[in-house]
Amino acid sequence: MNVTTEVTKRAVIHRLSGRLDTASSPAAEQAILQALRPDQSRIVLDMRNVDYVSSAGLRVVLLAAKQAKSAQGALALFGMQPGVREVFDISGFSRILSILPGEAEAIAQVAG
Amino acid sequence: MRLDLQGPRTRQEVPALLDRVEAFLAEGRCASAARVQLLIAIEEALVNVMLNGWPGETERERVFGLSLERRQAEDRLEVAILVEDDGIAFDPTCAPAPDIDASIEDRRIGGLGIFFMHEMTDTQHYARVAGRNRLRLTKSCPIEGQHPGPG
Repeated sequence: MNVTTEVTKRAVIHRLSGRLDTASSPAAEQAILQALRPDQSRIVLDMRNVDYVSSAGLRVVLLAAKQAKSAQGALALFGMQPGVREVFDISGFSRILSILPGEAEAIAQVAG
Repeated sequence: MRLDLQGPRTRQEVPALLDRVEAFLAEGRCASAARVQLLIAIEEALVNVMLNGWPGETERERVFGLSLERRQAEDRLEVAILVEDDGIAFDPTCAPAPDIDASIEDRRIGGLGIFFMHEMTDTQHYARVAGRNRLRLTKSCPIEGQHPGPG
């Protein structure tokens, strides 16, 4: 799992790649939560290169969404592969998170 | 065909173990979507034991094994998974399901692993035998390159 973070005026974009599993989730959590500040609480997760998410990975996404929301921000995800999307659907996360097809839509979703 | 592995002792050991499971399933031409579902079910089952099986006793020698069997039956690959450990007695087939309809604010962090283990496999069977937890999961998987059959 690699995380590349881009801070832009409209949102903080984290580009994830690889497996988001029990081994990689702590580092992903650290990268995402470290970048979260009162003026940088609009988070976008680029999921295009993530091929596997377990409950450990969902935990990180939920934690980030909760913290973004409590800082008056928001979180959106885009580019999810079908197998990963299924994990979000089964867990009910698809109904409480913003999942968009592309980057522009995800940024528009959090930046308003 | 059968694969016998030792359960992970740390989180860092999990990816290499999943790689071996994935290779074993790929050799049996297990379709990729079912393969990912099995990997998730196995990760959840193993992590549950690793984190909860032996509270406060991480150093002692312990029984923690993972066995997989794959068998081709017509156009399906039948996969059976056995997780065996000598940790505290715990029946994951009786664990309460998380509230998957809760809002972001109310949604609890955690509790999803065992739910995934259920959702990603066809059958789950637990027994406590001679001081050991025995969890058996099965899944009937489509074979790569063939049209999926019923189920």
